[in-house]
Amino acid sequence: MARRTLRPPLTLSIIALFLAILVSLHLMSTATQDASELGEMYSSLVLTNGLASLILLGLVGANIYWLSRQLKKKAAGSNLTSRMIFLFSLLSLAPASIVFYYSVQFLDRSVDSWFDVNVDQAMDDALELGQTALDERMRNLLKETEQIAQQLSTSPISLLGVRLGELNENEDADLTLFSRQGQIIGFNGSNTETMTPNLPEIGIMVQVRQGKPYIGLETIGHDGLQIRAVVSLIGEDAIFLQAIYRIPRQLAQLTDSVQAAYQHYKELTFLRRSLKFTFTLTLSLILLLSLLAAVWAAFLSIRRIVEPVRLLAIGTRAIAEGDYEKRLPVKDRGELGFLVESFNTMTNKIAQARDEAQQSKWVVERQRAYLETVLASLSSAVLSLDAELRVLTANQSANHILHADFEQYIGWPLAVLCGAYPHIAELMSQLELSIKSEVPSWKMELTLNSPAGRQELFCRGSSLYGNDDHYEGLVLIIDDVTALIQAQRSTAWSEVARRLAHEIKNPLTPIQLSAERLRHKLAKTLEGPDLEVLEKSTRTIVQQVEAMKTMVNAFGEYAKPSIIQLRPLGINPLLEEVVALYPPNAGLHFTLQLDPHLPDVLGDPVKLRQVIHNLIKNAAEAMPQGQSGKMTIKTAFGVSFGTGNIELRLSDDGPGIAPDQAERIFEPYVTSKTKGTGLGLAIVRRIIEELGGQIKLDTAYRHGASFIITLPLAQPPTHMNDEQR
Amino acid sequence: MRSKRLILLWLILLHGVLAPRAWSSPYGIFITSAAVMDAGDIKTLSADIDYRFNPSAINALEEGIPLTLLISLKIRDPERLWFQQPIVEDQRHIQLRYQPLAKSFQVADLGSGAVQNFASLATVLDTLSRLRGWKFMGQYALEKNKTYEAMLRFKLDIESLPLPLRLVAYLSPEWHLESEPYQWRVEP
Repeated sequence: MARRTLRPPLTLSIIALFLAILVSLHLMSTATQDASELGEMYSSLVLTNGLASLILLGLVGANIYWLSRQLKKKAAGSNLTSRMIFLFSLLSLAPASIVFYYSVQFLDRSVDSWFDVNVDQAMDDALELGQTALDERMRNLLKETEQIAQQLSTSPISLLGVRLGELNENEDADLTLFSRQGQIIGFNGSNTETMTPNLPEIGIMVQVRQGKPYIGLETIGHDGLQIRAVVSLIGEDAIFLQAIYRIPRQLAQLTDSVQAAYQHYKELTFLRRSLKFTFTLTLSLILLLSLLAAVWAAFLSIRRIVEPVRLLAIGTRAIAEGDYEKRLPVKDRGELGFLVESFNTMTNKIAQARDEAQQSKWVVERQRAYLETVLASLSSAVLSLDAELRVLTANQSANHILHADFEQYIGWPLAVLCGAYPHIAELMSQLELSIKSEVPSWKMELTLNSPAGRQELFCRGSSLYGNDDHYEGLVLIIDDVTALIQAQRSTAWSEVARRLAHEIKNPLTPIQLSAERLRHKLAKTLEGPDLEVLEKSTRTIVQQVEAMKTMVNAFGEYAKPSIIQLRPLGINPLLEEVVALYPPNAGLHFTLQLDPHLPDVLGDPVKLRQVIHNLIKNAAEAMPQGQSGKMTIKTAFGVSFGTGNIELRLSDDGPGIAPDQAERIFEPYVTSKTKGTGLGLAIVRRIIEELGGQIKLDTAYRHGASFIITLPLAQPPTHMNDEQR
Repeated sequence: MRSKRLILLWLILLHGVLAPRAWSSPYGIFITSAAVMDAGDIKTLSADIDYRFNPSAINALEEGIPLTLLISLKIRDPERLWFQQPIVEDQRHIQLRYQPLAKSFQVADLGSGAVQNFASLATVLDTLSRLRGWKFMGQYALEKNKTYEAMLRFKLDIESLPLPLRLVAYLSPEWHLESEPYQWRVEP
């Protein structure tokens, strides 16, 4: 900004430049007229103007160079500038050149017209006339001088001075006698101005010494003329006589005037070419200077005119590249300035619109993210499909519940997903009718055999419709209600067990006591077969009551809320301890595959022992009578859905569990065995669940029964921590 | 690189225009000797000069163009710095002119106004070749028993030529009749 304020206004600079050029050119043109006092300044003026031309040439050159670079760079506005400069230069050059050409022609002819053959001749004639008039006089005067010399030659040297005075009859003559060495012997003159007589120059003396008398015309002062005659005295060649005769003033003036005119004319004739050259040069310099100044001024003003256009082009380019912050400086208040201002307003509005769009996009984005967070935090699986049954969204719970990686299949048709996951294909085949029905909403309960085992799913579907009631797809909400149903069942069984224990256990003791009393009282009175019947019946009653008590106690055990004391413990030592209790003849051969690097689990050792005993007992009891089985116990570190745990697998090679029972094997009284209370697995599951773990039957295991227990870790593993961080 | 070469070219051209003396020619003015003489109380300058005017100059003279010779003398104290004024600085303008009526040459000292006529150019140049007894100005500033540097120079004064001829003379090397500066030591 400071730079701008220091700059004088362009128009003022241009006017000042033109004034300076005008003054300089005027001075030069005036100086060309020889009479002017400025004539002395002519050379310096030409030099000044020449230098000015050079500077302007440099400026114009620099501008042309700048423009060519701009053109090469394809800079905004450069094309327009070059076109305007070209047009302007052409417009100024054309008339100036025409004027220049005709001026030079005119000048040439004018100068030529000064010279005429007739005038030439007249001048020569006038000079010759003057010379002839003087020649006549000179001849006479030479004769007169020679006569004096002749008369003097007869006189002795000592009398020469006196004799000279006697012989000088001409009033306007100065006579001098001098020796070869230039010594003055005698002088006679009437109006001598100098003390010493003016002796002839050496060239004259050379001529006279050769015996040739000299007569010559000489100018004195501005318009005076004199005739000098030099002769040697006859016989006395060492003495010379000089006579100087003044020409009458009128004649002298006339001849001088003729000579002056002749000289001037001759000079002009000689200078004819130089004069033309000087005029042409002056004119060329004027033309050059004016044209260069005009072109330079054109550059300056056109650049200024084009500046807003250039700025607009730059601005438009910036907008095309997405830079809406570009603001152009408004330097001009004219129409172009208005254009620039309008451009700035437009850019402003575009930037505002963009900001608003971004704002709303951000809001939408935030809402979407919020929705995703909500969906992710839902425990239900949420899937959305479009009308062509392509997966649009799926939350994390969908991955958990349906055991599939939905992220990879977003945007893919459901059929592709089903191809990758057969259990989802099974699910979809069950839902197919409901999905394709396009009814607004539906719900369905179904069972799915997933890799994690049997799952009870509760599915709800809602069709999505667009603004024009156009079907756009549907949302599937799937809840895994397996645990819920199991818990419901478990609670129901607990209640049954509690009631049984309460309702049945109470009358059992009186029944047993009554039976025993009956035997005790009647045994004395009966004998024979009656006593036998009594003994048998009361024994049966007592035995059955005992059995019932056992059963009721087991129920009580199942129904009783257990006291659990959790602490970290190594699962491998515990397993080894329990297995050691079973001798080889117990009917089972154990194979332990224990991972030695397992971390501690969080559990109650007493309860865990009970679980393992129950499972081993269960396996042993499942073996066909009289056969021994094999049991494999395996521990491993497992990861399920980001949490570390210990996986404990107990597999036997018994008859296994029938598929129809697999679903309910952990429920009370679901058993394939003839012996036992039917509560073993139910208790196992309850304990495991109380310990925070899970137990499931591996339905994929075909060589017998295989249970998988997962137990939580006492401390999350460190590398998991790292990952979670 | 290109711009440097261009600048060099320009410099050479400029030197060529500004220093035409560089074009050696048989014409010119040559000072063969110069000396400051004691003539009693005053000192005078004497010099011998060889004038070799080229045909253009002689032709111009015969066509009535007066030629002016500029004789300049500078005597400076070597102890003084180069930019300081010389102790003695004097000039003489001698004008040669042809008189068509008398068919003679006139030599005028424009300073003193003294005029001399000569029948031929040869005698004019012969006379002018012996510069004798120039009582130059400022000689009283010279101190005795001190050595000075004197410089004498003869040249044809282009600025005294008629205006139309000046530019031609400036641009044409044959008009640059100028002696080399003649330098010698002066001990008053």
